[in-house]
Amino acid sequence: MRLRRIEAVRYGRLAGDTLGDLGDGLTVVQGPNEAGKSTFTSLVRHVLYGYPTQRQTEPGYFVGGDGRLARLVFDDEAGEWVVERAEGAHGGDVKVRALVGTERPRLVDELTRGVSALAYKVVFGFGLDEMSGIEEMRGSNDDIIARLYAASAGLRISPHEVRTAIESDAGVLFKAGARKREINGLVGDLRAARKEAGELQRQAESFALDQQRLHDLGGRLAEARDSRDATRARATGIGLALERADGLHHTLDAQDETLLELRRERRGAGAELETLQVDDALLAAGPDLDALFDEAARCAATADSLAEAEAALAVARARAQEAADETGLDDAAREALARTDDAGTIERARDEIARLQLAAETREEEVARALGELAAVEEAAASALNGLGLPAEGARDAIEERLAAIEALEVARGGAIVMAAHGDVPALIMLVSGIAAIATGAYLAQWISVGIGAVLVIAGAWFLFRARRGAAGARSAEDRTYLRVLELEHSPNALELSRLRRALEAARSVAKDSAEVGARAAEAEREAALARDALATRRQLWSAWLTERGLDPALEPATVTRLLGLARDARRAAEVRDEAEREVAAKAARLDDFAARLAGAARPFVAVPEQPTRADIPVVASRLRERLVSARESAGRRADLERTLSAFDVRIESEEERAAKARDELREVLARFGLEEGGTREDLRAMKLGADATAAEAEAAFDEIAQGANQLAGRLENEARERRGGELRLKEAGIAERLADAVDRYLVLATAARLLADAQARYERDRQPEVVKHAGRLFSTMTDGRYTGLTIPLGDGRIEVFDRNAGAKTSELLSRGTAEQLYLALRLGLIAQLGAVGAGLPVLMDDVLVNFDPERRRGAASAVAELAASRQVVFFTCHPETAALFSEVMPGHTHIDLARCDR
Amino acid sequence: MSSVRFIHAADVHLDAPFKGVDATDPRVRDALVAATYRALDAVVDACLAHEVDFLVLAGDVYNQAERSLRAEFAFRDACQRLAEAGIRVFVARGNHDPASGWSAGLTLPDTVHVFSEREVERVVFEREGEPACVLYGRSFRTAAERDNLSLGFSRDLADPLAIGVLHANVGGQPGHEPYAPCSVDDLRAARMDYWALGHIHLGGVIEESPAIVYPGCTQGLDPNESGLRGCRLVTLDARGATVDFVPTSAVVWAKETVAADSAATLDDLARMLGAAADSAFADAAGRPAIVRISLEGRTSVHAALSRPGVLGDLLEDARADALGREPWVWIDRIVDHTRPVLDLAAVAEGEDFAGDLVRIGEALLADDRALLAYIEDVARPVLGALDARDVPEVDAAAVLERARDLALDRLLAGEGR
Repeated sequence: MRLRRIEAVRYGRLAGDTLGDLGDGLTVVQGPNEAGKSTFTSLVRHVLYGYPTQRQTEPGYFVGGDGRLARLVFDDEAGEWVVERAEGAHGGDVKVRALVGTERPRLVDELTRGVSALAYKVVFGFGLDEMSGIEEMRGSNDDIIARLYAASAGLRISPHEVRTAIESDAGVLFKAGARKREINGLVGDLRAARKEAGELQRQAESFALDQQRLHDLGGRLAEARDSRDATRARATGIGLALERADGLHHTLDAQDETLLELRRERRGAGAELETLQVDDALLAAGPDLDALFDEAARCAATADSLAEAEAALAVARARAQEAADETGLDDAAREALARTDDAGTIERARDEIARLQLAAETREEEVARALGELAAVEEAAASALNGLGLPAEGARDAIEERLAAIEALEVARGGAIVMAAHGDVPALIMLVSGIAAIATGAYLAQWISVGIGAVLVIAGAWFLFRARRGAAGARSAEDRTYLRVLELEHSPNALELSRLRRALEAARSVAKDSAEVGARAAEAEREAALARDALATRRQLWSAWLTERGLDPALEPATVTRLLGLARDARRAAEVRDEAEREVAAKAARLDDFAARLAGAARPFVAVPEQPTRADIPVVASRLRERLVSARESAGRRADLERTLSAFDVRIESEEERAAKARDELREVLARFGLEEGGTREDLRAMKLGADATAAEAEAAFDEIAQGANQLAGRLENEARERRGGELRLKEAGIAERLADAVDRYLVLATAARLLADAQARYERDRQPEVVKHAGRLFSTMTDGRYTGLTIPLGDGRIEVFDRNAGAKTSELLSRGTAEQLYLALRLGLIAQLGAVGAGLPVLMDDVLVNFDPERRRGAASAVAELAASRQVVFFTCHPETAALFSEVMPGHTHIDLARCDR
Repeated sequence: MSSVRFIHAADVHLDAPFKGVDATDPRVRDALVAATYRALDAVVDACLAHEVDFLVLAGDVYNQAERSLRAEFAFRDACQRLAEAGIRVFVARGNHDPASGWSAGLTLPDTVHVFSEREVERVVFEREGEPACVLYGRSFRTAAERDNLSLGFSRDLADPLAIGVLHANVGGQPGHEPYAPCSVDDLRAARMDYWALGHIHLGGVIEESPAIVYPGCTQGLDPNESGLRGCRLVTLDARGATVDFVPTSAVVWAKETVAADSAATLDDLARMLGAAADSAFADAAGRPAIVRISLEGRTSVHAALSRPGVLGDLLEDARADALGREPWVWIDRIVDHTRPVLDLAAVAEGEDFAGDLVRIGEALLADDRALLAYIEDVARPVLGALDARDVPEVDAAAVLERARDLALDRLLAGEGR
């Protein structure tokens, strides 16, 4: 891409001026001063980067006027494009238009990529005023070299600028020795918090000391408690021992008295035992005798029951005879009746005859009652018929005929009344309407209405009269017919008719009752006859049954039942008598046998009759029992005395042992408190008083310490519930957290800055030498070997040059011409190393060789020509000799003459 | 059949300092200061609500290092509440409250039994005069108990039920001190029906039969102890143990990760932060939450985030929004782990400035010693200004990567001044 023409449509003093066509390589534009060389240089920059705004002041440039408008025409093998920019807001709008080839709307961006406006001004389009700028901006934010490094690296921003920004960010966080940086502030805050914590810690230490005091008090309290408990226990122990010793002493006294009493009682019991006599033979026979005594008791009962049995036998005999007599029958008949088993037949006969008797009597009563009722009804009927004037014969038909006549008469009268009422209503309406029409017509003087009203009145009156007359005529004819039936001479009114009806209905009811009662009386008489027949038949059957059994046929069933019971009673009394006779015989035999055995057993010990009878048994048995009881009592007493003596021996021995133990224990109690030898209870009592005093002292000491400990514990507990410690720890944690975060951010920023610095150093170390070497060669060429090289220390704004003697010299020590040669060499060397960056941008130089001496000017021109071999260079000059010089060093370059040149 | 019901808790750490949190809001600060106490209250409440037979505390009830009387008084008060309800307390000391450590020497109610530090102690728990179960326990004598204390446990075969109580690191779990180290086989050999352990703050059931259980801490103490923490309600009989989790956290720590890849603007990111706060709110189950949000992924807002103050402004806005919830959510920090949207490998291949920068970074990352020296050199001034205890652990590789990304971001995206 090459800039082919520069067109100033309106641009300051230029208006409609065009500079071109420019060559691909070097173009020397020669013209006088004020010809517009510098103006063309600025124009190119402004079209590419925008016109200066109000705030971006630029020497010699005035904003406003009629509005600048300029164009640059670029071309390459693919086409030709016009870049046009009109002055306006934000540097003015730029337009790219294709003259040949396709549109390239982003052409300006493509051309300027990597080269800022300032870099362009200093490196690509410069005059004498900008020559030193490349050095003045070293190390600053406008470090052109750094910017061009970045541009050559494909970056839009200088690494140096990025690094500076990051270092600035890091500097906000931390700076050694500063106070207002975030980390420095947080460190201070943390120390302050810890100082506060230290104060708390001191309080805590005091707290801890108090706590230790409390702990110590706790220990002392425990000791005091132990001492108190120990002394109290000792006093209690002595007290208990004293009580025990007293108790033992009393026990020993009581035991001595007990032993004396026991021994005395034992002696008395021994003397009694020696005098006691016992019949051991009788005692040996005792069990057999006891058995006989038991049997004798049973025999006494048997003797009693024998007497009772004999008395009962006499009674039974009398009772049997009495029962037999009571039946009045001979033995055979009584026995036959007693054995009969027809008691059921007798009872059924008795019951049936009684029931049939009752039924016959009941029927007779019903007949009498029916006949009485019939007589009463017939009398009432006769009275009713007489009242109506009716004969008894045919009375019921006459009653019915008259009731029918009454009913017909009532119906006829009711119909006539209804008819008359119905006929009156329209007649009355006509009458009233006529009167109303007459009255209305008369009031309104409407005589036609009066006439109609009169007709209506007449018609209504006639109809009313006719209806009443018709009803009266009909009633009169019917009444006469019915009066004949009722045998009445005049027409009865309604009340009379009602009374007649009730009388007829009563007569009809009485007549009906008379017939029904008569039928019932006949029925009762028939049933009474049947009952009488049934009773007679049953009595005949009963008499036949008695006859068959040899009994009086006239006997009533109740009598036969009683005789049967008496016969059976007589039979049972005879059986009782026989049983009593057998019992008396058996008991008499058992008593005689026992009397013989008892006499045999008693004879060795008591006096007994030679021939004992039943009556001797109680006497012999009593004597023998008394004798045996006496012997047994003697034996029991002997055993009691022997046990008593043995018990005395045991108790005496026990009491002696207890007394010995009590004495041993007393000695032990005293020995426990050091009173083995000659110690007494009084010594122990004195010891108890001393122990009580010591325990009281220990108790008081304990109470005092406990009170102090409780007070201190209470205070510590209140303090312990404070939450200040927790809050402070939380505050410290918060600051520490913020500090850690800030330190982390700082480390990242500082490390990033360090990485950038290292990368920049590497870049400058590995890649800058080419720039520096190239610039050094150019500088050496320009200075004709006076200077052999240059160096640009990293991170430093200085540039050093070396002369052929290896002497180093900083740029500010060079003459103006030499310095300008150095700056030109740097630019040329730098541009040569940019490669693709800004490859389409022309390098515009405005008479920058003016301060060079002829020799160095030639060298510089050669260097420019060398650059023009790879980049488009437009060199403005007003010096013909400079133009001629370029013709020498680079024949064939493009040459353009401007109209005037003051120099 | 004999059975008991009890609460198993551990690692209450009363009045323990919270780490890694900057609670500038008074509500958050107050809640954190009270959190460990509220958690203990919740344990006691659970005991009363479930009418348990006893409470087992397997170590680290409080931090003796803090010399906190408040903690000891709070524990005494809790035991007193349980004593009034007739609930016994069995305590084994841990590495933070060993027998040799400092103590206020408060007198605990008679219903509290602290296991001996000299030997495994056997205590019979009776119900209505009959043995219901037997508890075996041992306390730490010193903080650094290196012996395998579990070897001293052996169940009496006549015991109706047996519970082992110990503060120990089973299986050498990382992230916790290897105190009282033992293995699952060691515990099995003791033939307990239930092992009530403490020390590991993340609760879990190590074995089902016999039950070997860490209840976890009752209150998370730093951002790494995220999620609901609590104790265990245990019903134990001859058939085995039924173990239910009972949450006790007064404040829930949470970690949220925001994948910022799709964020095109800071507004997008702000919405994502709101969603993260919503998620933490939901996970906290009705409790206040403190959430740390990590921004991850390659995103076009990386460069904007690296500008000073931007992350802080985002945090302030998100905090204000999150604190408006009830219960509140406190966004503790937003950690920026985002990366720029660029292909490092492609950049590294370029023979240019950015390539040089990436290659310098890669060379350092490949040489740990050089990397450490490099970062130490950079960090020396600032770390030298800190107290020794405040010097953070620096992940040199992470710092270098973030620094490299920052530099590249600004170089390549033109985000410079």
